[in-house]
Amino acid sequence: MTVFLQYTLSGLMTGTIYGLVAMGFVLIYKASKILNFAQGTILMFLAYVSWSFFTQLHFPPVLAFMATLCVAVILALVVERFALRPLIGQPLLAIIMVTIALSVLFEGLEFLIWESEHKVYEPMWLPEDAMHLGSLIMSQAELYCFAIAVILVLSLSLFFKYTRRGLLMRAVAEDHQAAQSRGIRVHNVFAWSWAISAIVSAIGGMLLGSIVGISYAMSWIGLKVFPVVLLGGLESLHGAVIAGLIVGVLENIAGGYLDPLVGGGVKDIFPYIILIIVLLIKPYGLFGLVRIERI
Amino acid sequence: MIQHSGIYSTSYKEDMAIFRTIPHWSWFIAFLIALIVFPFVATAHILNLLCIIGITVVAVHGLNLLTGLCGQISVGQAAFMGFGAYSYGLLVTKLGLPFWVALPLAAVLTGFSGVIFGLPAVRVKGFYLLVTTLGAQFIIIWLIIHLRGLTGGMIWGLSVANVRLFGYALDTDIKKYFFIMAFVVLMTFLAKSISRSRLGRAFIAIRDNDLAAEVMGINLFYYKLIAFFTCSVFAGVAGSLWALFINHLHPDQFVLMDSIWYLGMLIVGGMGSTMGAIFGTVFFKVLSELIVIYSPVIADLFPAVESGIFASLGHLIFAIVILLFLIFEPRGINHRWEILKASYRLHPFAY
Repeated sequence: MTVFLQYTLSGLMTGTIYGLVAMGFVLIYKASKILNFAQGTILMFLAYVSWSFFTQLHFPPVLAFMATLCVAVILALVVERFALRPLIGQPLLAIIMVTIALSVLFEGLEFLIWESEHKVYEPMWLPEDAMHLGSLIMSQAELYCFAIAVILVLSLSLFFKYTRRGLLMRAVAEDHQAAQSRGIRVHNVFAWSWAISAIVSAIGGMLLGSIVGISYAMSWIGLKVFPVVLLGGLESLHGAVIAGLIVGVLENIAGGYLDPLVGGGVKDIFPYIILIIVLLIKPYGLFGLVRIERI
Repeated sequence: MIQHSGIYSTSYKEDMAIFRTIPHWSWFIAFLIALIVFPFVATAHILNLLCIIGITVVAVHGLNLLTGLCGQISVGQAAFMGFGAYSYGLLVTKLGLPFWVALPLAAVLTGFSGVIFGLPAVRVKGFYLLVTTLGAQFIIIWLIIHLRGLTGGMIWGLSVANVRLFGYALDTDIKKYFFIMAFVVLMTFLAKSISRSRLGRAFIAIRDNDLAAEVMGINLFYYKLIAFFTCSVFAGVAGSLWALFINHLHPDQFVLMDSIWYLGMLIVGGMGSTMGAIFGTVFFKVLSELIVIYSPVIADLFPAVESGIFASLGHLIFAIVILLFLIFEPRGINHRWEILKASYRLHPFAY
């Protein structure tokens, strides 16, 4: 039982990170219908940027955190302006390909600057002592991650619900042309959604980096996030977070119990198995918008 | 299609011919002769590259039928190719079948594996489908790695003997080149034919509007699965060719990035056209080859700079070329090629 709870607990912690990254993905998809294949690589790149601020340049933690977010926003705006805006109205697949090329570009940049070395924050900016909950063990850093993720989700949903900017973004997500005809600058909204998504990615990258260290392999989370996004439903921010937790817990439990039986690697494919089963039952995910199509 | 002034078709058959005029035929034959003569003048390295391009072209043709014509996005092509390669390898090594039985059998087996992973396509589309095919990529490779007893897993891999044809072993690169190119020409012809047939037209109808297609009497369930089947059959042939070309299979030869690049080749070449698949593949492979060759040359020019930087240079140049290309020509090379052909035929008039 303890083992089971332990798996569940660490699954929840991984799940929050999945949820965060999935949120960044959903933000861009909702606003501009672009599937951002570069999400994972951008996260990895920003994690390295934050490492430079925290450890190389010895900024105080708050300043380093803010500096990373600034870099994230600038990066997102540049990418949106110069790579994606020229392609508005072009075939969807060309746009997907551009995001793939972007991910290769960021991989190259990362290698150019940090040479793909494994880095850890020194000193750690989150407390990392172990905590005991009865017989369960967890690190404080993971708890902080959980808290930060929850705060981020709440503040984003408040942002969408109550601010004018959030209203504009929801309007654009609904229908580009209708929004434009009401005088909304759709381009601006795209830029905003890229910027917010990059901030979410940067925070996700810093949290993940403080738990497992920063490495080239972090970009894999960009692929992990696809089943999460679909499970939650492509258009739903809350869905992304909940699905992140579900996938995190299930894959951790499955990995824990099945890995010894089949020889490892269950964690990597289990989300997809869940996904294929769910898609056969609920094709639009748990909280996705059911599209009614007409000719 | 626009023809030169003075070329008239007197029958439907004539109008529909792929090679319509004598210059068409002469260009085609010249190209075939070039393909035959080339290996005798090329270096071993270029020959190798050509074989790989040929094999990739077959895989991308399959993807073109599924994604370009039928509109079902797939990022599992490399895994299906792996499935084909391993089925061919196992049929040859474990059952001792000759290649002319093993290759078609492997292709058909791969086709059915494609149908299994294509089943969700009946209910979902677009991005949802993309992720189920991503699942296919992970699950197939996972199976290959973990069925160690059959496939040799990550450690040993699977060795495949050379093909024996009429008592001769295909053991040198030149012999393999001719063998592979014969298949490439055959599969290209097949892909072009499918795209012009009733099947291809059904695919295009589904791509343009699947609901409308269904109302017109096209059975979506049947044709979507057929699309997955044909796509995977092409992948199976490509995989078998890869197995007999490389002689040693390993799960690392069929990674996700390859699947994504196959899609990329298709997009850069031009979706939905047979020529586009070839253009895109050649563009990608030649570009990455040039980068591999010239990165060290650039590195030599700047001896003061650390050599590690130039390892990343390849990535950067590759990404930037593709980015610029897509930003300025999102419809692919084939679109540009059609414009070029049309303007040549209309010369000296603009339209």
